[in-house]
Amino acid sequence: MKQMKTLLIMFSLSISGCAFSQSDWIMKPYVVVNDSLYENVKHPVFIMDSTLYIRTAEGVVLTFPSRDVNYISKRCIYDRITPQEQNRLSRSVATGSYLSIAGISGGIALIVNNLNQLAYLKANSYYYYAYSPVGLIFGVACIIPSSIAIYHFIQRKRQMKMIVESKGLRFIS
Amino acid sequence: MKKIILLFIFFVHFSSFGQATQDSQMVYPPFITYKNGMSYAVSKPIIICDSMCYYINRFNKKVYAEPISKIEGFSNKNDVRWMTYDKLQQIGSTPVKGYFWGIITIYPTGLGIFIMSDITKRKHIQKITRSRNNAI
Repeated sequence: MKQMKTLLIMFSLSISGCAFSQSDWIMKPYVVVNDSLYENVKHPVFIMDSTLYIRTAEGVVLTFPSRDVNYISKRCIYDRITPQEQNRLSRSVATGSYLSIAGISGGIALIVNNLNQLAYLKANSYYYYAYSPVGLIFGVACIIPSSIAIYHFIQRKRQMKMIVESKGLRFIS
Repeated sequence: MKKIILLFIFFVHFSSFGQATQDSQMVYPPFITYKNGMSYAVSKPIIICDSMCYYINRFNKKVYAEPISKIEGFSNKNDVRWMTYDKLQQIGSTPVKGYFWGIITIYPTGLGIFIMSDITKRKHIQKITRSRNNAI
């Protein structure tokens, strides 16, 4: 029975490994436009107003009409910005960023506090029944949405920068 | 005597600063750079809409509208926003709210500083929109 279990695990692992090697998840993000390959593109990759925006490894922003796009690899995780969603690009992010960072800090504090409590209760096994993972759950619940929000803010900033650069403007350091 | 000397130095410094032309001054970010090499300090944000670039000069507080073809670029520490014409009109015509919460939450959390920052930027966009509408 044990051998059968091991065999099954090995079989499923080999299948998943084979599938992974066949897919383009193993390769760095790339796009194919007009049968030309653009390798190692940076995130974000997005389509807006029937135009594909990509940033090459050298940091140059390129745009292509979406009808010329042959393939976008899975690791590009491309975003399609609809006309309704275009307005979100111009929103301020200062307050949202503050709240997200506060959410992450609060979540970390809750988790640390809960883990300290757990360590204390483990040391005093008599009180072990008193442990409640509510703090841990709340901490994770605070961190995950805040992290997603920050990720979206960063992506929005990058998208905005790419749109500006695609118009022939540049950012001078 | 010491006070008089200090006062003298202050006046000399102040008058020399006033004599300096704006072009010769060092421009600190955020700034905008034209293709002819001129740089101007600007207030955040800079708006790009319909192949035009709108900004507020930080020194004279006037709104300027320039075609993108004349602009070379912007400083890295900047807030450049591309927006649709509809969005620009929407921000320009909507009253700015949030001063109350901005002031209330300044202490002790500091959140108010960020709210006020957003409100200031929004006021600037409103000023740009009004100026644009008046020009049309």
